[in-house]
Amino acid sequence: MKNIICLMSVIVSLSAFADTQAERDEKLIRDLELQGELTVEPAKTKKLTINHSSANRIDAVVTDEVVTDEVTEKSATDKFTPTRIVKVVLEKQQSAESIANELGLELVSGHDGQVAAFKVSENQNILDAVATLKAHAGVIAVKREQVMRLNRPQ
Amino acid sequence: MTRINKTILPLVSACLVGFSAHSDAQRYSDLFVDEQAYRDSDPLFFMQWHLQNTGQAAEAKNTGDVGNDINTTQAHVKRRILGESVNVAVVDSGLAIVHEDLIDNVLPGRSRNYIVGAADPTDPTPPRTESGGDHGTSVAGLIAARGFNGLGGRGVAPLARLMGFNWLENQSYESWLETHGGVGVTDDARIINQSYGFSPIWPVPFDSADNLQEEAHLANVTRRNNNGRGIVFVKSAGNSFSRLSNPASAFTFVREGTATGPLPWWCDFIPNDPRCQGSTTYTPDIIFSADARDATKTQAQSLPAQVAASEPSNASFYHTTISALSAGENSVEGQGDGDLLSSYSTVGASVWVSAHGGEYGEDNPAMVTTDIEGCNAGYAKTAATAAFNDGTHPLNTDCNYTSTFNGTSSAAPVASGVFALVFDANPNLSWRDAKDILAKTATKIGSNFKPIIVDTGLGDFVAEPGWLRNAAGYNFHNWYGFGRIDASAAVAMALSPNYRPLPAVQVTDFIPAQAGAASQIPEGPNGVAQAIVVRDALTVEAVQVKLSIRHGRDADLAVELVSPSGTTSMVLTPRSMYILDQGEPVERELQEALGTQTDFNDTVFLSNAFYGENSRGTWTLRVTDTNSGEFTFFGFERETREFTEITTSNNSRLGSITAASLRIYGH
Repeated sequence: MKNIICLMSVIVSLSAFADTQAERDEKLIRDLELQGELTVEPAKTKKLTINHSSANRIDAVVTDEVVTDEVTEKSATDKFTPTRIVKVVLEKQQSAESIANELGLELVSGHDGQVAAFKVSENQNILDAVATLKAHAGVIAVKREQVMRLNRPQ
Repeated sequence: MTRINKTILPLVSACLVGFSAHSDAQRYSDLFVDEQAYRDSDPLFFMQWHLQNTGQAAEAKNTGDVGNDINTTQAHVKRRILGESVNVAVVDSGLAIVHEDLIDNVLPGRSRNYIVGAADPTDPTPPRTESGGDHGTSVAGLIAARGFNGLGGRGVAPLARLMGFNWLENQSYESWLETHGGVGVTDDARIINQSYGFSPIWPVPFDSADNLQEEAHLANVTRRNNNGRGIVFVKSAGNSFSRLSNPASAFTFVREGTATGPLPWWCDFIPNDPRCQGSTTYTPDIIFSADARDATKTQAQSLPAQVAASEPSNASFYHTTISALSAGENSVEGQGDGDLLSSYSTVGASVWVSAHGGEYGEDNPAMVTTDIEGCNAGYAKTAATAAFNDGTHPLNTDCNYTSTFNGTSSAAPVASGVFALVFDANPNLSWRDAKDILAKTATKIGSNFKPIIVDTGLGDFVAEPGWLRNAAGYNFHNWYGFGRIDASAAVAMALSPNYRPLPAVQVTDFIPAQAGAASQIPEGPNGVAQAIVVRDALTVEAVQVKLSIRHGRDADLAVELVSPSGTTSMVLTPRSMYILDQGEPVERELQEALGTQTDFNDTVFLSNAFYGENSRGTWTLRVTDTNSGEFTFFGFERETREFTEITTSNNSRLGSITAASLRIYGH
């Protein structure tokens, strides 16, 4: 008899635990719904594809839009667009202005610091400009800007 | 030649401002003559519990707590400080510049639309086809919806001047520069509100070319703009207390026990069993912490899935990070448990103060603010919405307002509004003075918080200590910063002749830990400590810690900093969702584009807990591996709405600190 009572109480408590867990999960899912994170729209699902213009180098990541009935994910990172802005970290004694003059680049920011951003004009080859900056003795690091919608409202 | 004693100049200036405000007591009498008229002059004001909490429900099921508000009434009614002299930039998704309750506060021609090919580059109003609300329009309403005009509710600074920038629709560096103090665009803003962010699942390097550009620019504009008084960059802490999204599906995980050959015979009957899955990898859309899904734990017993400083901008001295508060205490078995933090709010030692962001407006109150006008757009179009939004409510028949806005997205603009009041009260204050005033006047809340302890497997570890009182006498909590903002107290201090502005900021270099210190991180609660000697005697405003660590499971790590005065700040709470190192390697292209990594490399955290202390002396940095057993978290898929438990085994080798340093900002 004692065993039966014991077994019953175990079943009841397990059942109560399952109910509590279900409630917690429902709450988490409801919060997602209220934040618009689970919006189901018979619309377009964005898929990440990567275009390579040359071996081992990313040129652009673009999105293909596919009409589906699936949930639409408003991914913040579904698109990477390279621009003509090049960001650099400079050696301590290096002047960004002198590099801009030397290479014929427009100085966008960094007039008085250890970092600078240059704009490469349309009549210059962006890849050549990046390579030249990488090879420059006064430059520590170079990164071509890729615009991505990484930041989201929060 | 007359010699002026520079030490009394700030006092004279403050006195003049104070007299001016005092003698102008009947200012704005055309808008409201007394407190009754003040309350009655905007039809939705009575719902705006964050301004004056009378226990309203704001169309939710439950009410808030009387008095749990930012206390604007004295500042508005008695001091007559409404923010009119202050320009605020809203960098967001857009701004409906002709909204009936915003138009009179919008600076004509000063906004920007960054969408390529926009018909009017000075109009960031979102298109009418927008489904869901326009985030920026609702954010702007919390700062400066026009007050006393018989329309809608009102902002915290109901006469402040607004500029809107839909930078989130573009996110290029050039437009970032314009919107963050750029010459001729936002250089005359005193406040820039940034209700956006990014929730990385890996430790981000602070010294990336991207981040260093932003830091250099912010250092410049905070020093030079507005005649050297700078700009306050207000930043939302994030909405990642319990979950984070999986950016670009970067995290994939091999399921243990998944089928590699023919499926077992019984899979026809139990197809969802992991051993019956054809694929061996799993890619969640959203990642939940174990505590979030633990039905036995309340929020006050849970560790956050992320600390705010995981995102580099929230580890920056130049941003003021705001966490979010609910309208009422979290209810446990019908009783308030003292926890006022919004259920979603990211927290951490880089939080400055807390302000209201509400809940979801269904069970518990959300924020009442402006929405895109009309019932065919805005939050009225959102599927999961409240009746207030959809045109059936008598006070919102045109669907121009919402009662379901929330997030640290709301807390940041509430704080921005208070900053606007402070600058309106005393335009001579610098951005750091205004921060100082908000810290000094904040209200300590959640005082019955109990430390959160984790079992390391080798002993208990206090993972979230709660309130501390530092050696300079400031109370600080990783969840609430210096406490809940008090607008009227802040305005009173801004007007006070006794307030002494801060001297110019001084910044040390990153000072490395002493050579030869132990670096291996043992399992268990004791951790490894390294000493860092600071010789500069500054009054601390903030401290940054820069770390490089090799470790097989980043989520185990806790990082504490102890000041020479003995104050301990938990700068990284353990069980954070730094889980990328537990998944499959990230594709190289994605790795480069997102800057992902699986170890700490020049990762920076910031703590405000040492505010006012002396920097000189020996600081101690302690890194602890708080988990010697398995680690569990949960993936969630939108399509199936299923949670998947992910359990990882302990790191096979002990981790080690490869570099540690700290930097003091102070005066």
